[in-house]
Parts: sequence; C-alpha cells; structure tokens
Amino acid sequence: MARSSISPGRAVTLESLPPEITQRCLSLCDPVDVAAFAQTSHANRDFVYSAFDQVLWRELFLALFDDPRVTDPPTAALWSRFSKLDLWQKQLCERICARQVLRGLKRKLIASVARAGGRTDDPTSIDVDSADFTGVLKGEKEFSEALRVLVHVFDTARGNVDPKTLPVGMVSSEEDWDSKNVDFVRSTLDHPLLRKLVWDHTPEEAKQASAKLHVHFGLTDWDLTTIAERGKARERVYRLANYHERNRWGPYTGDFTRTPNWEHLEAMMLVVGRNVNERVDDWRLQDGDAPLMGLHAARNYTMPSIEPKAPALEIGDWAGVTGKWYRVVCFMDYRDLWGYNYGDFLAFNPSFMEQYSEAVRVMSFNLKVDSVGVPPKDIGIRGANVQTPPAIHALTRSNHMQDSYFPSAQREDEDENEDSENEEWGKRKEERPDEDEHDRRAHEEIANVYRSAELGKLSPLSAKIIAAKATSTTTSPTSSGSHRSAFSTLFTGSPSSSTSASPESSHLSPAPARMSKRPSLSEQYPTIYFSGSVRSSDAWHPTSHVHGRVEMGEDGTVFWKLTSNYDGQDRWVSEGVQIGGMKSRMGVLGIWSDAFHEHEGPAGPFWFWKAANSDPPPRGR
Amino acid sequence: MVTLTTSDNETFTVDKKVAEKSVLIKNMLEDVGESDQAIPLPNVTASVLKKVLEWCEHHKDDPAPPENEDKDDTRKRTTDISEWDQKFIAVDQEMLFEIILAANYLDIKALLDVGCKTVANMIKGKSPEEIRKLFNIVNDFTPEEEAQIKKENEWAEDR
Repeated sequence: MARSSISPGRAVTLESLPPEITQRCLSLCDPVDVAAFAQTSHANRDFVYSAFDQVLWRELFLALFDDPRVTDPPTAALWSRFSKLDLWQKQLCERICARQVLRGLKRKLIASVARAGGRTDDPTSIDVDSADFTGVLKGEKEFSEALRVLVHVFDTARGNVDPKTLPVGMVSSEEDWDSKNVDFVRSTLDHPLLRKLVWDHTPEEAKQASAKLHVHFGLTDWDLTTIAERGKARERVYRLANYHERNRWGPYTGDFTRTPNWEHLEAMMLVVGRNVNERVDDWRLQDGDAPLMGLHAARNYTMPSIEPKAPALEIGDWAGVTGKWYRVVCFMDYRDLWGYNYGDFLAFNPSFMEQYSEAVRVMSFNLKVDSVGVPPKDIGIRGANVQTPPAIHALTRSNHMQDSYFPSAQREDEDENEDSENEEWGKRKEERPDEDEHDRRAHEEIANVYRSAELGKLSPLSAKIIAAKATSTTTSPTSSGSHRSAFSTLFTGSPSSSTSASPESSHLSPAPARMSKRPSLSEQYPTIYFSGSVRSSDAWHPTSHVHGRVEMGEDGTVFWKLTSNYDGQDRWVSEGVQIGGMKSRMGVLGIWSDAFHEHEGPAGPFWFWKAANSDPPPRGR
Repeated sequence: MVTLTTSDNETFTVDKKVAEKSVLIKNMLEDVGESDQAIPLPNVTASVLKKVLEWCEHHKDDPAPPENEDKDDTRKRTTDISEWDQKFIAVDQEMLFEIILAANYLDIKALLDVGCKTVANMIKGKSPEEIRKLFNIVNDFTPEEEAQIKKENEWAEDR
C-alpha cells in the first residue's frame, strides 16, 4: 500500500515538501537558522539565495522589523518583492550581522568578567570594573558599523499613532505602541556590560551613533553612579567654546546645519538627568508630572494629553505646546565657570568637574500658542509689552530672533538641484526610447526615490546600492554632486543634514514654483510661536516670561527655542531638541545661553517636559 | 454527519462541525449541499486523516480565524505551540510532513501553522551539519563550494 498518495512509494521528506510550505517553515525561523539551512545542500542554498522573488526574505524581515513600506512610503516601490535591489535580503543581513557582532562582544565581555573571577549570573550585579572593555574591541570597524546600523534601525522605527486620529471612544491598542525596530534595538543592547561598552568605549567614528542610542535609552545602569563619566559630561556641557554662531549656541553640529550633536545631547542628559534624579523626590511633583527617560518615553505621542479645555487654541498645536511644562536648568557659579573655561582650575585640580556640584533650579510655566506658521507681530518682547515702553523695544530685541543663521533660501536652493535632476532624467528617457521595458521601469523606480531625497532614511548599505544604480545610469555632474552630499551625511547618525545647505548658497535666487509634490514635513507642521509665564521654585526669583517657537525639521526632528524675558528684556535663550520627536514624553534637552551672546557669557544645560496636570485656572486679578 | 473517503478507501464519518475545520471540505459541502455521498479525499491516507481528524475534533470549538487573512504582516510570528498541540504533533518526521501536506491540501490553516512551527523549532539553533543529519539531507558541496557558501552566510556567523 502506498505510504502517501502524494509521493507514492517514497517517504515524504523536508526536501519533498512543496516550496511554499518550506518557505513557510523557514519564515518562522530566525534568519541565522535560515543561513544554516542554506548551507546544507545546493538545492537548499538556491532555495534561500536564488529564489525568483524576495518573499522569504520579506517574511523574515517583517518578523523582526517594522514594515519600511509603511514607515517610509516614498520608498515603497523599492521594496517590491520582484525588485532587483534585493533590499529585503540586504537590509536584513546587514541588521542581523550587526546583532551578531554585538552579541559576540557581549559574550566576550561576560567571559572576561568570568576570567577575572567575577560572577556573571546576575547581569545587574556584575562587576563592571573587571570587564576587559578595550580587549574585546579588536575589530573596531565592525563594531562601529554595527552601531550605525542599529541607529538606522532606530531611525526607521514605526512612529506611534496619534491618539487623536483614532475614532472617538477607541483607546489606542497595545499594537499602536509597538515598534519591532525599537524592540530589536532594546533586545540587542540587553546587557549592562554591552551598554557600558557602547556608551563609553565606542571608537570616535561611531560616537554620534552610540550617543544617540544612549540619549534614547536614558540613564541606565552605572550612569546613575559613575563619577568619572559625570565629570566628563560636565566638562563637555560647560565648555563655552562648544557654543557659537555655527551651531546657533545650541546642541547642534558646528556646520550651520542644525543637525543634532548627539554627543552634546548625551552629556546634557547625563548632567541634568543625574541632578534631577538626586532631587526629584524633594520637588513633590504631582502624579504624572515627574520627568521620564527611556525607550518608551523617548517616542512620539507619549506626552501626557490633557483634555483640551479650549479647543480653539489647540488647532494647529501639533507639538502639544498648550499647557503646563516643567523645566530644570543647571548652572555653575560664574567664577567657577570662568575659571574652568578661561582660568587654570583644571591644572590645579584635574578632577574639578567630577567633584563640582552645580546649582539646579526647577520651574514650571504655562504656555499658550500665539500663532502658527507666522511669527507674532511683537516677537522678541512677548509677555512683557506692558512693562516696556516702546522706545526701548529695539534695544531689547536680541538679534537671535532674526534667524539669520539658517537662511530660508536653502530649501529652494535644493529644489533647484532637484529640478535640474528631473530634467536630466527626462532627457535620458528621450535619448534611449528603445530601452528594455523592465530596465526602464527599474531605473525609474530608482530615479524616483533618488529624486525624492529620501535616501537619508535608507541604511548606508542600501543607499550605496541605490547610489550605484542611479549613478550608473547617469553621467550628470549635478546629480553626482548632490548625491555625494546626501550620502556624506548618512554616517552622522542623523539623516537631518541631508536637507541642509551651506550658508553660502543662501544668496542663490529662489527656484521657480515647485511642482506639485507631497507637502514637506515643515509644511504639514508649521512653526508654532508661543509664550507664557514662569513660576520658579524659589520665592525670591522674579516671575518672568518666556516666548519661543517649536519647529519641525524635515527628518522629523522637533526643535525648540525658548527665550526668557525679565522685566521686558530678553535674558536667556535656550535651544533644544525634543528627544523622541513630536510630543514625546521625555521632552526637550538642550542648552541655555546669554541672549546677546556676549563674549564669555554663561551657558548651561536644561531639560523640559510636559506636565500631566495643569495648574488651576488663575483667579481674576 | 459527513462521510469522508481516503485514498486507501477507508471511510470516516464525523461531525459536520469537525469536518468543516477544513476549508476545502467546508466549501465542498456548500457547493454540493446536504448529501449522503462520501467526500473523496484522494490526497490523504487513512492513517494521516485519522490524525488530522483527531486535531479537528479537539479544536472544533475554537473561534474561526478572521475572514481577512491577507493581513499576514500582523500575524503572530511566535513559534509557541500549545501543550496539547505539542503532544499531538510529537510524531515521527514522516508523519509530521504528511500532516503538514494534508493540512495544506485540506486547507486547515491552524494545523498547518502547528506543523510549520514544529519544523521551524526543529531547525532552530542548529548547525548546517546538524540540520543535514536531522532531515537526511545529502551534502553535495565540494570543499571549495563549502568555503564559498560559508562566506555567503558570513552575516549570520557568531562572532
């Protein structure tokens, strides 16, 4: 009797299963297991690597990562299962490789502790000092690459869904708050020793990547106790030479591009975070008002939302400006600050900053939106017009409100490049009408993505692939030039600089009206101008006013600028980045400095976050 | 009650509810309407159908899977298998593959899942050599090819 009517007379084996079933089995495995399976025989190798489409790789990818077609719609065409770019496979292999490298380092670190006689069974009490951090880092390049890939995974994580867009009465489900990419990053850096290695021992070329991960992880493990790292962070934060016109006296890279400088932000997080951690219990904040860090809080739409009492004001308030905020500022005594920066304090005492204890102030303020998209008329003196006679208006307007650092022409300038590129592509198509249809479609697909300047969102590897394909089909000098500028920024840990231009280009004439296109992020989320009054924790401190604005960068970075105004005079100006993007619970880290940026003017870090509670409405005065 | 005939001419009579765990049979019943005629299943042997019906019997009251099965992206990828299913599927390899084939043919998605997850769990964490041994796969690589293939899979190597 036949054992099976499907293959009579022959036992059914794994290899005799129909391919769709084998694929189904493999897609439930870890990619590493699929690689092992591919090494068993010719047939199995071809099944994995020479399939006619990308379905297996896509399934494997989607088991571990957010769907890039959803998180980044402009690139969706690239992810077609028949695309010859093989992005599913390439990106997955790249990410798994990064995970394997980091896992390997973790194993070696644990082994080094075991060799030194330390206990390794409980990660939380492991003896960090006995780990051989420098010894395990032989292949630095591999390590740096792995961190960059990890940051790319983080950067392309699925954003949370705006709870307000959900139908009324529907609570956002767990799934809306899930990102496989974030889970992957979290689980890859799941050991304190590995985190220590990444936070403190990353080679220079990947420091931005590790710092960005650190800022989003928040204070972990030894961050809360280390004296040396706290000292180093203070040295960076209070180094006044770090703030200048080139970075707008903010936590940005010094190239006029307003790209977040994650190493600065990391130091600010360490300095303010430690100070907050030591004092927050004394502040007796209401439930839900305490500041939060960590991978959950550093995500968009995690900000506490209060039922809108005045809906009219809320319209257009995409940043959740309206309401009560807390702010913590740290500052050094000016003589110490001067001595550290311009004197010889460090020569006398190299651990001066480790031992230093700066002043910390907490305050709260109530903000309201003044205008959206257009600056309010009396910008520069918000909230103080009552006390200030018009005559000194001009004097008290600090020039930082004029925004000359980041020329508004930059975007048009870029459009111009894009347009000339469009023409190039158009010409090419005319020149070669007999081109093979499939090739032409593939080229168009690449060209589309290439044009849409979304390359910054792809990983270094896939960006290289596309660049290679794109350049192999064009000899245009303009496009090769512009693609270089897009790629050179891929390794900075943030794609934001791909939309930036150098200040020299600002004099270029504006480009002709742009073609109909998806609205840019800053068009969807126009700048919000706001103002409010400050309540300090100190009774002696004068009540002051703040005014400022929040802006959306093209890569989703949310920039805050806040100016404190005392008695009608702008005094301090704060520049910061919202960690986790729009409406993140964690809030904004940054640096405050003297509003007029006089030589040797002071500066210090701050952190501000949205409160869950609102102040009782003020009694009529 | 529904009567089913296997490829080796055995007949099974089961509850309609049990038989309808198979989308294939369910559709047939809908097309043919109520009838005393046996449904032929030329692709399934008696020994396998017996196992499959055992599974269907146990799961007959499970809620039906959602209609919209296109949303593969959101499906649970966990390879966890319930305790009963684990015991049920603890069979020799040949029977495992037979059950998978039958579940595929009869269109019983949940059972197919159990089968595929079991195979995935067998592969998990194994070296190529261990996988070959487990599934009787013949290594047909030359040593040079083997080195080349190792390179191709370097991304997955333990470091």
